[in-house]
Amino acid sequence: MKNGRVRSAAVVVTGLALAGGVAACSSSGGGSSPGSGSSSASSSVAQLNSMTDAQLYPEAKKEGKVTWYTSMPENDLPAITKAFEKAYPGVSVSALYLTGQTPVTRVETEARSGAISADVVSGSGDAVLLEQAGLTDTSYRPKDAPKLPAGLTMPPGLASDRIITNVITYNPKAVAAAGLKPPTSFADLAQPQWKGKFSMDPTTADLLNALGPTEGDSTVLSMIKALGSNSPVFVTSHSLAASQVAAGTVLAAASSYGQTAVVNEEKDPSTTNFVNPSPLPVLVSEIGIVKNDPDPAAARLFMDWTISKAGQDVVTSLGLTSVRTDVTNNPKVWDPAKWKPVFEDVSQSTAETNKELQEWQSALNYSGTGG
Amino acid sequence: MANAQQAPAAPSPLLPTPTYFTRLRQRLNEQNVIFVIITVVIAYLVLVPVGTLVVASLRSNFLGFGPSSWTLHNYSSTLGASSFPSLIGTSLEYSALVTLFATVIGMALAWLYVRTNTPAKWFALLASLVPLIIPGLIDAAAWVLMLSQNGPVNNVLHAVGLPRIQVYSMTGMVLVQTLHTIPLAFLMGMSMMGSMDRSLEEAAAASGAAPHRTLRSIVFPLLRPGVLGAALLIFVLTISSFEVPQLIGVPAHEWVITTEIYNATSQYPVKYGTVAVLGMVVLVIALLGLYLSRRLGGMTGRETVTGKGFRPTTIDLGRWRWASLVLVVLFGLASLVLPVLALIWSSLLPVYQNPSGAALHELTLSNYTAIFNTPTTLNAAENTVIISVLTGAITTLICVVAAYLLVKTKLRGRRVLEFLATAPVALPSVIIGVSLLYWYLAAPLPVHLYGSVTILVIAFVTGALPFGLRFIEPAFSQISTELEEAAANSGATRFQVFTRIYLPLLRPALTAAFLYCFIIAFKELTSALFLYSAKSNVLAVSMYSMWLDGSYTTVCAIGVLMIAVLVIAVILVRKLGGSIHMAR
Repeated sequence: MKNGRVRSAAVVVTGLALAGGVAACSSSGGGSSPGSGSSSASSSVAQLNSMTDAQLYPEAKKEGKVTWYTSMPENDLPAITKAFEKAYPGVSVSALYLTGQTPVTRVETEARSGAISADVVSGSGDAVLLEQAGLTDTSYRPKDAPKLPAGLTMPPGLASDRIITNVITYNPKAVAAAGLKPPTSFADLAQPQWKGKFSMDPTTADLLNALGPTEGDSTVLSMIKALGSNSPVFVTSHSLAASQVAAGTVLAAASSYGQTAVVNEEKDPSTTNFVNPSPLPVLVSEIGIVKNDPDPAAARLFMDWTISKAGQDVVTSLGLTSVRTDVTNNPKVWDPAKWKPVFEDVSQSTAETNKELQEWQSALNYSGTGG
Repeated sequence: MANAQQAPAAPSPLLPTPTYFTRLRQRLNEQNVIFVIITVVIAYLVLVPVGTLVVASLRSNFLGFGPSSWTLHNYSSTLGASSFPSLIGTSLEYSALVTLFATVIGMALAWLYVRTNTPAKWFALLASLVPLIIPGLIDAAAWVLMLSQNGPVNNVLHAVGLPRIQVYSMTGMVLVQTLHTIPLAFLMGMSMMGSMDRSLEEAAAASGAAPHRTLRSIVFPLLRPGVLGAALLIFVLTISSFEVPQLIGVPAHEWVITTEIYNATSQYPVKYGTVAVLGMVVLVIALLGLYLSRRLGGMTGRETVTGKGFRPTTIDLGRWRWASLVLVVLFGLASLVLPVLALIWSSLLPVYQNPSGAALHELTLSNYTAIFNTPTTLNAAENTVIISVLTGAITTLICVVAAYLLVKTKLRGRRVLEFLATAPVALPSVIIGVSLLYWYLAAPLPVHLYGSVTILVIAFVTGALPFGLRFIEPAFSQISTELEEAAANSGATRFQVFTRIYLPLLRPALTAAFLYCFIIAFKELTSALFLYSAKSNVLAVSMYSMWLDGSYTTVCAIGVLMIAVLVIAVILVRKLGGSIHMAR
């Protein structure tokens, strides 16, 4: 018995010794702080910033690869990476699909450890949060950046790689079988007959962000509370929401993307249809270069290509929507003359974003310890 | 022989007293050196995650850019949050219900299989073994589709006048996790009942006791400790589970600790303190459950029943055997047939729709061709195979050495080694993932392992250790030490004894250990979610991402291929390695 205690004590002591090691380095952060790039790296970055894409290409080829963290639908990534690799042979794209705020948390965690893997980050709100945390390269001015709609300003170093409309998706067959009428507005889903039969994504406050400035935060929050009280099924990605509707696991989705809904509708109109609400909430996906990234030339080349007409042609061919006016978007999803768009505020601070997210989640009764 | 080398030599009055260095040299024989090395390796694998978690829970700014100090604030803020009681309540309710249903049904099926003349019993065994290789994510995905509003299962329930099941609910969570866990309870029950002393039952019967009285007075008391031990182990595994709570619980507003941990790591800024404290909570619960389970003999198989008096007698159920057949068929349908059919059906559709004549016209192989035309998926598949093979090989190697030291030597401290090697059962994958991520970010190591394949192998080996040992340790126990002694007397070195005597005799157990650890790694999602990168992505994570992306049918196609690959691997390895007893 005594020996057992001694052994247990030995195990605990060893554990604590290891723990002490972690503690010693955890206080120092264990890695580089944001913005701690070396002076030689800075001069190199300055040189890269002044290069044309033709000049960047040989440098990018030497690096050989670019790592891209994105919330763009995973199925669409191969087409984009293949097109880039065809345009710039010798530079391969390693694309990692991440949802919600995980692109940001990933890059931040990597930065803390001083082991940055990501070169380019894109997603709705992701690059902006990183820019505010000092983790993007703000010195770069991407070439041929698309012009943003009036009133929208992009933080330095960032550009829009696509826009995303938020639509109401429903399953016509399942809705009819349940004896319901197709929803035409968010308010419809707050009606008692829809209780527990529709989904919402609690992980992003995009509706509040986009609709708040024009409709008023309190009005939008009241609507969200009404939806939250109607027992929505929580779904942790807008793309998943549209597929749940098509599969009939829910009858409708209040948070789903037009780009996904239209693809599902084309595949099977009996299980997917969608409504563009008025005004139409629109999210802006930003793209930016990670500070102190391992492949700075390839990152610049990739970012430039993605937002160029050539890149955006590939984006729109996948059913995604571009902010560029010289490409062809799907008219069922994007027609500003028909559905008045209201854009999310891309200049919002991290504190404001988090406050909005808390209000959103609170309105939806989305739980969490919140510690 | 080995023990003789360990016995301290009695000091001779004619020889000088051994110095410290002489004694040290005596102790530094190859056996002790190997023991120290293997103990350090296992201690590193097991204590690093726990130590990192403890520190992270006590630091004000773990992994922070700014200053950090020791604090209990993370505990007070997390445990004091208004939602914490409900989080714990839901976790316990979910785990307790799954434990109850899975244990009762699994043990009942085991009893029917081992002790009765139920027809087509092989079906129950098949329906228990095959689901062990089905990833939890795939199983949950299949049930989400089958239990959709107008899904096939709900339609059948409705047709027979039963209420439809809302999959996104506590009921749905418990149902799906129970179906996923019953095979484990069945296999544990089968092992227990197969080695039960039946002479007592026969004595009771000979004394005129009715069957139900024999059951109540003899069988239940004999099985109780083992069943309770098994139930506690199921409880530990359930409270650590992630896939079903994430896919079904979160949409239903039913949060458990593991999903809350994942949630806290996914939000910006990351709540490192909250993550660590919640990890500590689940660790304490799991350790307590494991401790009680071991005390009751459920984990190690040291049940209160013995193999003495074993005779393969069976109970004639009479007409009731047809009722038991129905139970077995229902179990097989729910556990194996329906999920696999649902996966195959979904994998052949461009967009999921419920089975119908019209849907038959939509069938296509496009999901399969898409998989083979997607470089990222192929890369994930390649990584998965490499990581799984490495996990199987490394775990088996560590476990064979550890088992030898545990069984064939009387080295001081070997119980510490055993404790360390079996402790990861109480380390949920979510904790291994989070804490290894933190450790390899924070520790001043000469190489950066973050984002590499190596870190995934480390995580998977840690989680697989107890299972590898579970296969190899009993096999070692069955090999007589006389063989080693005879070989040593003939001049064989310890290495020769190990490679020429033990390894050939252990081949079936080593093959089974390799295979089981390979399967664990092949389907592991939770820890991989925290540790993967673009370069080290694995299939399980890729499937989860596709699920979130709404690509149901592609996920199902990958799932079908994964199951096919695992079945082929089992058959191949079985042929190469001889008889394998997965149900050991």
